[in-house]
Amino acid sequence: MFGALHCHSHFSFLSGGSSPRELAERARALGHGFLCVTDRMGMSGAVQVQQACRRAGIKPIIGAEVDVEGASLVLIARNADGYANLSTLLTIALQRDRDNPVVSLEDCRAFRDDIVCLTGGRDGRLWHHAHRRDNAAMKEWLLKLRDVFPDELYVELIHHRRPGDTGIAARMHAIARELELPCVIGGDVRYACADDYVIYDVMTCIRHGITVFDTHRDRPVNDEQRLKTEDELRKLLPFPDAFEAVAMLAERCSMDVLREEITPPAAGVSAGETAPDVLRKRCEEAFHKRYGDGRGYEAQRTTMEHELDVIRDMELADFFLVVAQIVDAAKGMGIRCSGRGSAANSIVAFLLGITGVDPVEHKLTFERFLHHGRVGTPDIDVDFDTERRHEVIAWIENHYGISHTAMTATYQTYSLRMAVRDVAKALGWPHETVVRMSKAMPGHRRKPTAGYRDELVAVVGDSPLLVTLLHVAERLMRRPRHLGQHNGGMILSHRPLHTLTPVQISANGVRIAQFDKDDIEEMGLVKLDVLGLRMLACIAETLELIQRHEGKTVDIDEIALDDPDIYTMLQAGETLGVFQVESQGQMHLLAQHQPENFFDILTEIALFRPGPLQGGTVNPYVRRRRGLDPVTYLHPILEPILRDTLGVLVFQEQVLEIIHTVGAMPLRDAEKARSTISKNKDMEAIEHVRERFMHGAASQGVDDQAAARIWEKVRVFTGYGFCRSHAAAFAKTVFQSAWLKQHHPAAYMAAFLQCRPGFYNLMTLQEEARRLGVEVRTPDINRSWFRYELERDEDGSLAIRKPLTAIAHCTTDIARSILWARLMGPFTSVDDFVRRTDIPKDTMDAIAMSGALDGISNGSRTALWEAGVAVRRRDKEREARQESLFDLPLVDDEDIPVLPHMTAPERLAADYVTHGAARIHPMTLYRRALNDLEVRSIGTCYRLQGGEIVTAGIVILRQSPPTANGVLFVTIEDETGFVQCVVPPKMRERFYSELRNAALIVRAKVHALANWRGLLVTDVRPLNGVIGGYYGHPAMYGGTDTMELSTEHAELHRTDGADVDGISIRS
Amino acid sequence: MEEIDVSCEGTRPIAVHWRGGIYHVSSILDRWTSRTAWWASEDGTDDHRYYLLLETSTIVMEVFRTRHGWMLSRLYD
Repeated sequence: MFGALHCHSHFSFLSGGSSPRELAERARALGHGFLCVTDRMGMSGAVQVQQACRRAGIKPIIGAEVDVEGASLVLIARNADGYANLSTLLTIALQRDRDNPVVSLEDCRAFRDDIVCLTGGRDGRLWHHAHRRDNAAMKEWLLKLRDVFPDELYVELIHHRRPGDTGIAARMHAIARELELPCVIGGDVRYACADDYVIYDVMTCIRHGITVFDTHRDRPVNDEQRLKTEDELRKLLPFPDAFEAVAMLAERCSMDVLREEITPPAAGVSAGETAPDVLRKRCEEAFHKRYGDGRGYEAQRTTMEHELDVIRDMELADFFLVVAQIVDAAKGMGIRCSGRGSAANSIVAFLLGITGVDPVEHKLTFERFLHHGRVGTPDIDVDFDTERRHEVIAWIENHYGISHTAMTATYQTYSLRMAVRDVAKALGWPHETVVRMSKAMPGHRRKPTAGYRDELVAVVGDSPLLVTLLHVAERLMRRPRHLGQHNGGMILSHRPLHTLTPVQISANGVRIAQFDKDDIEEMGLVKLDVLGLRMLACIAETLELIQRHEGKTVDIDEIALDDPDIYTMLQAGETLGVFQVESQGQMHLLAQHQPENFFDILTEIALFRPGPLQGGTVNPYVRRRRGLDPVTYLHPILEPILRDTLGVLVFQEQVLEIIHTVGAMPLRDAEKARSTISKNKDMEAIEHVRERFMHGAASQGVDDQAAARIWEKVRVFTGYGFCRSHAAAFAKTVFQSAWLKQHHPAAYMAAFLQCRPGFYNLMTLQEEARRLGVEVRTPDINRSWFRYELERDEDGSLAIRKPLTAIAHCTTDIARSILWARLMGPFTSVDDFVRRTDIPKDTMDAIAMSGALDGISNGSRTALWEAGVAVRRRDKEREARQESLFDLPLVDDEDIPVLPHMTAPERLAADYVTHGAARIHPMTLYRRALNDLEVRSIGTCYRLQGGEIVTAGIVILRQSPPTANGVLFVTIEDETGFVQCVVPPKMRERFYSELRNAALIVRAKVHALANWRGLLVTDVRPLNGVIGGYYGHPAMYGGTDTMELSTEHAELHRTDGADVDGISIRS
Repeated sequence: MEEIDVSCEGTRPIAVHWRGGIYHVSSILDRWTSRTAWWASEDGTDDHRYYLLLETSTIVMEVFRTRHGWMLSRLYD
């Protein structure tokens, strides 16, 4: 048996040019019997190597190239124990020093069992000594290594057709014979085929931050570090004993990282009890509490019994108990949490309090979540209050042991934009140009990479190198660049994790495994998604504000889901700030859909997804829901399955039921079939599923034609459809957030401004609060706190006070120091404020400009002057260590000139710059000029049912989702509201530069649908001339666009040949 | 670098013809390859060289072969 014993895959992160699959396939083609992947300081490729080798029919061997005392050695796991030791060694290195991970020979000695050591390739110390012809040093190093690995040391011979390689190999072989050590042919392979050398060269340049025109010792000089045939290597390295040793070594190595069984963490049940018993007991108690004696809830009882059986059979009781313990702990700490995803299909999860939706009531199918045939662990995702998620993670680490937990990694793979950036840099384009080139690439690739040449020509002009760039970028795409940290995937293991995966520490101190979530699942490890959801933080904060300021305790989990006010609000599309339904697209759908009950919210969530939107499901459903079209079914057999959704396929669970019922497959087979179709990878397997489905359909009396149509619907929908259970979990949060906004607007908007769970900017959110009748007050040095707060006025109304932390440069530390100083009494003057705090000048300026000192000075301009003088004197006195600080005022009255108050535009600009939003909408200032030009307010749109309008506003959103086929959606806002403008591709191209402006005048056709309005744009002009001189906050226009003076907009008002000349409204 | 002629038996060089002289190869001391400047041509025909370090009766010659022919790279006396 022959193969490569020392081989990098692309999981060496920029130090290997081929994927495990490419390597395994090439190895098989070359007649190799095994593939040993030894990535640099890691084993992220282990699972994929194992899978690829299984597929290729060759033996997988796992190892790693490890830095030992400054030189690299190749360590190979002989079996599972060797793998555990190697993983531990890597963990030691990675946790010792993130940037330069190394282990010592003593570390190796401690964990050497079942590990084979190769002396390494060109980066090894032995090769280095051989290159220098230093026989003494070679011997010394080998003796040291033999001492650590007495029976498992092999001298690695390599030949890459570089100058001197023949002689070096001969010297190493001779020394090995002298010391009676075995030699092996290692390979030191970096890529599968000769052509991959290009990608490896570029990767090396990227890794070292050099260009292809620079020299570097690590850069390849030829394409010889590829996989080679045994014959080819025998010609280069005429050492038969080394080839024999390869075969013997490979025979001795055998291990499998892919587990067939799941290894959940231990829930720690008391002695004498078993986890299934404890789980049953908990479920019974919860069942009794929720359903009483169970009368009328027989379906729930049957489902619970079935689930408990499956969970027991799959030995997952511990897992459920562990998740329940975590959720209980979070709730015990007062942290809001909510289970979502397919776990909501489980009544056991519901009874344990992990999820909040009764799956029987909502017709959720347990098999979608778990069934006997399922390989890998079930997914349980739990959302926690973002601001307190770290407390949950800390609890898990403490409770289950820090060495038994780690976060899942993500493989950060090359996107088109990232690939173009890195390759362009390696090809020598200057930094500024590289940035522009990468920005010219779209976020999502819509055509083959080579098709983006024109976009690059627009940036750098024509160059033959562009073809090379795109060619290399294409080959780089989807390859991992580095390891990242998964948002919330937390691994829980009953064995110390470092024996299963190297565990490294991220830049922010988080322990991360070296595998992503899919590979973790393949290894049989259990992962729990501990996700942060800002909306939960927002709801928690709202409840707290209600309690403090309104004196009410709201049990938000128990509110009635039939409150008519909420449905009226949703139907009116007044959903800015409501979870999941605040986008313009959702508002449009709400206007069409007119939800009347909780199930409508559930379908609303499921429908507004790429699959239904692209698959044409939305309109048929909505029209049927509104009674505009009749409800029909492709076949009567579908009626019981699709009755709820009026004959339209809306949920993933319905796919499962269709395959089960029409295809006559047991539920667990149906789930496997659904999963196969959904992955859309194995065409052979999909065809097999189709045949089985068609056969099953025939047995159910469904004719071929109807069965084929049903199959096609299922096939198209499956990849994109939304899970009913997930929609159900989300719908509850939608309802809760809408309820809080409707009934407690002040508290809700204050919490919303604090947590910012949505995507609208601060100005828009403040405007929304005002529309709800809640005043948003600017920061005040004596009234503001750390967070957004409520103030009750004499008339009983509540207003929102912006916090000190909303002011630019006012960090949490500075805000804290101000509040500590204020505990001794309110600040009475600017002098008093400066004296009692120690705030840097830029922050002091921002505080003064924001208006926060207006209450203790004669306006912001005066405060700014006064603070400037006071800070300068305070600092000077402190520098001089004068003791008179508390005796004399820092500022005398004569220091302060009489200064005018800020004008409205000045005030507005100062507000934007210092606390992100103005106290009045910027468009207010220009309303008179706009009226003169017959530019209507946005509010006017909502009084029209059609026709044409010219309106204007500040751009608050620009969106071009991949599903929109090039249509640009621009939302503009003025003091009366906001509206979405739809810019078709042709218009987008025509008004490309105008649309980049921060504020626009648009001529458009009004599209009315219930309370929703959209504008179909026919002409666009920048608003520059009208509001010339005011540039606003950079955030308004992405920090790049400028608003220069112009009067172009006048052309908009040329109607029927009546030109409007001489308009000049520059301010 | 200079263009040269190399006589071979099969693939093995036996003599180098350079500046009117014939240098008989007594042994091949080393051989290696290099592949550079892959980025320089649009069609991917990069500079692929096969180097040989040849010992002759008088000098050691470093020569290489490309798709265009043989070149003398270096001389060692």
